[in-house]
Amino acid sequence: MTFPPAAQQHTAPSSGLRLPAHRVHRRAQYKWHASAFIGWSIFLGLLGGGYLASRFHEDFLEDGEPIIPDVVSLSVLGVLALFALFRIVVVPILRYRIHRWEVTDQAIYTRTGWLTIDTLIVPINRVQNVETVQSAIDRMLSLAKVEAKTAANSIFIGLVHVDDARRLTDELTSTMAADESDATG
Amino acid sequence: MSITPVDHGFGEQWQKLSPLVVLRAVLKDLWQVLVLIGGAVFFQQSGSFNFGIFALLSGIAVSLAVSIANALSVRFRVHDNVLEKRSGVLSREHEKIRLDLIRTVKVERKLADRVLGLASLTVLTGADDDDFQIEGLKSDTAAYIRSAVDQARAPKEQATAPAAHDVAGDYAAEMPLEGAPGEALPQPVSPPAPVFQPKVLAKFTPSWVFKGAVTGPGILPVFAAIFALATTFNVWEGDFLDTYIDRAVDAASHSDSWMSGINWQFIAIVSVVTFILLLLPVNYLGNAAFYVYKNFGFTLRQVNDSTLETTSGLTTTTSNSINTERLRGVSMKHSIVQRLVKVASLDAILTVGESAESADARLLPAVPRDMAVRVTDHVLPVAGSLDSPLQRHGPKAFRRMFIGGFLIELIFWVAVCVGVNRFFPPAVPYVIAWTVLVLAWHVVGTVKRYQWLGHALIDGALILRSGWLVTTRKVVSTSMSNGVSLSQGPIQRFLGIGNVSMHTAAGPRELVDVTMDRAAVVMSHIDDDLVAPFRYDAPHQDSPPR
Repeated sequence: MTFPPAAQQHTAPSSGLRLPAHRVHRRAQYKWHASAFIGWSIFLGLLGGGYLASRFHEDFLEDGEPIIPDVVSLSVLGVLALFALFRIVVVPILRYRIHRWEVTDQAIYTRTGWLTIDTLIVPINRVQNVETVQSAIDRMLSLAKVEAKTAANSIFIGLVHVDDARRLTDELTSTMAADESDATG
Repeated sequence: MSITPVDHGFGEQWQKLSPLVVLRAVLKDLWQVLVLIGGAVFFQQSGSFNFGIFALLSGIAVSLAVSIANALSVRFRVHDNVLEKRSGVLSREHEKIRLDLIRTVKVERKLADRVLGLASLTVLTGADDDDFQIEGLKSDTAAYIRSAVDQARAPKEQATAPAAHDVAGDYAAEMPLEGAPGEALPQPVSPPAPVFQPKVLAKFTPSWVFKGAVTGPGILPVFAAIFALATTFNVWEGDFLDTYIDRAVDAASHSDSWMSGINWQFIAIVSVVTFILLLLPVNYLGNAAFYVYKNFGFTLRQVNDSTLETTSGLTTTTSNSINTERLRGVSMKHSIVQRLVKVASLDAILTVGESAESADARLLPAVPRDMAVRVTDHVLPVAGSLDSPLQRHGPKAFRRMFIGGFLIELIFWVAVCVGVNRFFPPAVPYVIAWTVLVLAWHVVGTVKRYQWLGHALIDGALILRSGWLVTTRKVVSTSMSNGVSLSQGPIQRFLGIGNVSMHTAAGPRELVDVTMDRAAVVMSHIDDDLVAPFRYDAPHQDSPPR
């Protein structure tokens, strides 16, 4: 597996920080497309179903006309559908372009978000435990989400190939074991 | 981590609580007792039998009996650096807690407890588990356990020095030791010479009350009263004078009585103003009484190198010990009114479990600001930190606050006005008036919040100031940072600013809306070794492909 070299550009103008070395796995973007599609489909399906049901249920009709005018219902549904399309198609692309991570002997360095972009540097010796999570979609795509936890926060390192996740977890765990402090900070 | 066992004198014998806990349980559930007595009197007087009332009384009696049995079932012991508690009648519970892992010890003595010479002991470890609590301990035993905890978590060089009773010397004087059957008093093993003399850092004086009673929220009732008064006189409809005063004036001037010579308008206005002015001292006296109730006898002491202890309360006395190893900084708060009289309160910023224990993090109630500064200098290694000159965040920060606060609010309220105009036109003038009021408040708020936004970087600490109506100045130690982060929303990216957060075990502390150049400086100040490898100009260290 190859990774792009550390990009020689800033995370933000004048912040002085370069970008973390690695992108998340390419399939992560597909996972985000898929999970957004599933979530929004269910939500819009329920709303659309509710709208259709209301057209035929007398409780929602007044003199045969819907209580909430069609123009209002369909406008709301239309706006939501456009937003869903944005979340399903555009946001995963943005997330893939923005999300980066890097783990060195001293620190975990991540960049996450799509609207608000967060750059986080956490010293390895503050990590208390490492968690690998695989959802059903992750398992289908052989991906795993790696998270490190400190006394203060939970750091989403990245959505990586399951083999890399295992290796990363092993490395982090051995680094934690070598450190004798209580990692509370 | 190896723990050296310390013999605290209890041995391995389980200790019972004092028999007075029965009385305590009765007093605690006094309403149940009163209902029972009332029920008995009712049956005796009426001579008839009502099954519903009988069932209710039986339930209360059983509940009371269980409460008493539970109180009597408690056993505890302190040995080998472990505090143990066994309790329960129907379901048994056995809890153990390592003394050196205890972060906070709280001893509370309500009025009934003080009369009976008892206390409630609560210990917290900072974890999200339930509190470990023993209610109805004898006061001196509670003080003894506290001192055992202090001893167990004191630095190693201290650990052997102060015997428990030496450290608790003040308690012993305050709460004379008295033996009780079944609750053997702990005996110190071998009292060596104390090394650390407990030091009083702040002590309640009556002069605190005068300034401490001035609170920001305290003036709210005054405004509420003004609002209520104005509503009563129907000021909002604009017919205040017509409805009340002018009618009186007309009536008086058309009559031939002596009343025609009186200026009723003047009297009415003077009466209203006097009433409002009277509310201020009444409100102030109420605040003063509450201040005395909460803070009478307040004392902040340094018990040993690693323990601070606060004691306060008029009827219910609460003493709370804070492990200074948990201390990551302090937070000084003062409202807009308190600023005028130079009063501030001081809270400790503590590691994990802060949310659960935030009520126990109070270092000082509202006291003269100078005292808050002195205490901060004592408990934090960075002297003069609360008085350090601050740096403004610059015009870009103001623009962000203005856009984020005012413009978004403007768009929202214009949309509301359009909507109201479409569906309920008569309400439009009121909505417009409200919109103008809200927007004016936002303009003032944005300007003032910007003026009060500031930060400073001093050796070993980061100082943050924010808030306008209530200003908070935080001093956070950078020596135990858990990481740094930079966050940028879309407006911030457009303006070239961002929020820098220092993560600590006490949670993140955020420096908002600083320019990118300043953000780089702040991040380096927090932990240069951590940030340096990721700088653009740092030699790139190729990490192996993952």
